[in-house]
Amino acid sequence: MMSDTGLHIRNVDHSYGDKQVLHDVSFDVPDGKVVALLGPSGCGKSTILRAIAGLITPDRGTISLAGCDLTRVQVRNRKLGMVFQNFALFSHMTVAENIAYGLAHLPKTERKARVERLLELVRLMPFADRFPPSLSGGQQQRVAVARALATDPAALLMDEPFGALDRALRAELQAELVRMQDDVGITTVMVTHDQEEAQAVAGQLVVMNDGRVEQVGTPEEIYDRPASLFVNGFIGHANQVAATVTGPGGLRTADGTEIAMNRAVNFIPGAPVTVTSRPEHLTLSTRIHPGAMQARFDRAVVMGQFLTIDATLADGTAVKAQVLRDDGPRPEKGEAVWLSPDTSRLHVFPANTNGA
Amino acid sequence: MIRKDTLLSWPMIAFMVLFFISPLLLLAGISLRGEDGSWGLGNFAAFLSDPFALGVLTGTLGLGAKVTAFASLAALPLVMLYWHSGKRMRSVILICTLLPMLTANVVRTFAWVVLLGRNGPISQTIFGLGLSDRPFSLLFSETGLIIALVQIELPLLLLPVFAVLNRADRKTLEAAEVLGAGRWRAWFSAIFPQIIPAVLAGWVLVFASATTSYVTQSVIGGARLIYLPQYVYREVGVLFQWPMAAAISILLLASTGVIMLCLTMLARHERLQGHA
Repeated sequence: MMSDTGLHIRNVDHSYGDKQVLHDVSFDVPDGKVVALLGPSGCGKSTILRAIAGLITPDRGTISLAGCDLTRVQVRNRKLGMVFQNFALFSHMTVAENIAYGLAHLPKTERKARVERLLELVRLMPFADRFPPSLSGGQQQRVAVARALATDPAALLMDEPFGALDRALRAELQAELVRMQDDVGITTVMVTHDQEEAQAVAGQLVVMNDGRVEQVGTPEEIYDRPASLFVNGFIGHANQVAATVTGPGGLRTADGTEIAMNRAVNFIPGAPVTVTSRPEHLTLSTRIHPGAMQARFDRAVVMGQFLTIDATLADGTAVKAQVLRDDGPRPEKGEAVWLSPDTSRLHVFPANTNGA
Repeated sequence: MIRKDTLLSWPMIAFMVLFFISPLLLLAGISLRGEDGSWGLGNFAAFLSDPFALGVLTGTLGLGAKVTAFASLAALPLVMLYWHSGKRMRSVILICTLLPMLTANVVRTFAWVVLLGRNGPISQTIFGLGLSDRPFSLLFSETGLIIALVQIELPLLLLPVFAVLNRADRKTLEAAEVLGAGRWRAWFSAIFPQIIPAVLAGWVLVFASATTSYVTQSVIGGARLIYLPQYVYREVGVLFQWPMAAAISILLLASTGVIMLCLTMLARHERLQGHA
């Protein structure tokens, strides 16, 4: 059942030559919401964005917007706004002319009024008659956003919109975009490889890897309940330890530590698994503990009120732990320590065979 | 004072001064010498007050303009074809463009003599199709000369444009399409501005080359069509009026120079700064 608002991507496959770059990609963007496509480079996130824009025609699947099937609609008739990675501004046109580009069908006075409104929205009034090459990266980005919004598009697509900017400017413009999004409330799909950026701007994340959608959810859901080992490791840090299932709620790690989970795991006894833990869900002790993994202490880095600890398990697996700085031991380098996981927050996945 | 880092350029500078700048100054000096041995602008005044000579000057500049215009028209479909071609096809087009340049100008000119003649393929085809009631010769006509010059000078316009197209930014074209522009509007607002500087550079080359191509002008234009290079030759070789020939040369240099300067300044326009 297809609802008639928002943007819907259904079962999209695409190949470049022999290489399939999208495998059965499906996700929804609710009307007026921001969704971020997140994944490492080459995961197909830009390809799906280009398919939505109509710059490529996918081999299979449907893309619909507000109840209309876009699949057969030509690029210029899709009425979408797009912000490109390097902004793709017309450098021989002034800022105002760039913004007016998609408004050629409007009468002159209306066009002028609309351009002025957008210049105000992106706070570029004094730059209306400047040429893009003379603007800073942040200003160019805002021109690109204004140009995309000028046509009052049904949806806004952004391909790494902050990728060409330096770090300090990025945070500022992300906040600006959130403010603008609150003003105009446009259905938005943003492609990014930066998880912080995705979490700062989008309410819903679509995590992609290798042409497939790994998980769709809010930033919280994805952090707390990762659907796959890839998602677990890609969003935030995850310590990965090889283990074997010993019973309904029991695991034995490769170095022999018995871990009793507080819930049953869906694996048959004897199955090889990878058990993961966030750094902040490990506690550090200099004495042996039941259910704690023995490790060699490497170093500790002060991060505000926390200590970030690097340690190495007996089988050579590197482990990170984050503990409060005030209490707790300060071991020496090379000393033996014990790390106890918060068993309610462990995740268990089929054994990591591809080394990802 | 001689700076060490410019030392390597001195042989070239010396060569240019000795064999280019000093002869040019010499030419300018000779042009100021009157028939009676006096000095002044008499030669220039004589040339510019002679209606026939003035006609030759405007005819020459007009020839350059026409060749540039028709070469641009001929280049447009090739540029479009090149833009829409894949890697392999682009190489083929590039080789086809370069190939004629490997033959000497004289050889290409004589090839056009065959093609443009009364029994040549152009005349025979048009006559054979019944579009003309008798075979005709395009030799010794401005039309024939323009056709030949357009073909001979075309690579000078195409090569700089192809070079720019190879690294043209496609994202801008996509941006134009997403914003609702049709194919032509998108191409002219996204790709065309990127190639304008190359087109202007090509125009300078084609114009300068067409106005000064003595061989093609005299072989295909014949004795009936006189352009400045032949006019100069006549003054030097037939009339032995060296000061007059020098004055005409300076005028030719100055007039083509002014046009080239204008085109170059156009390429520096504020709107083209992002594409330099």
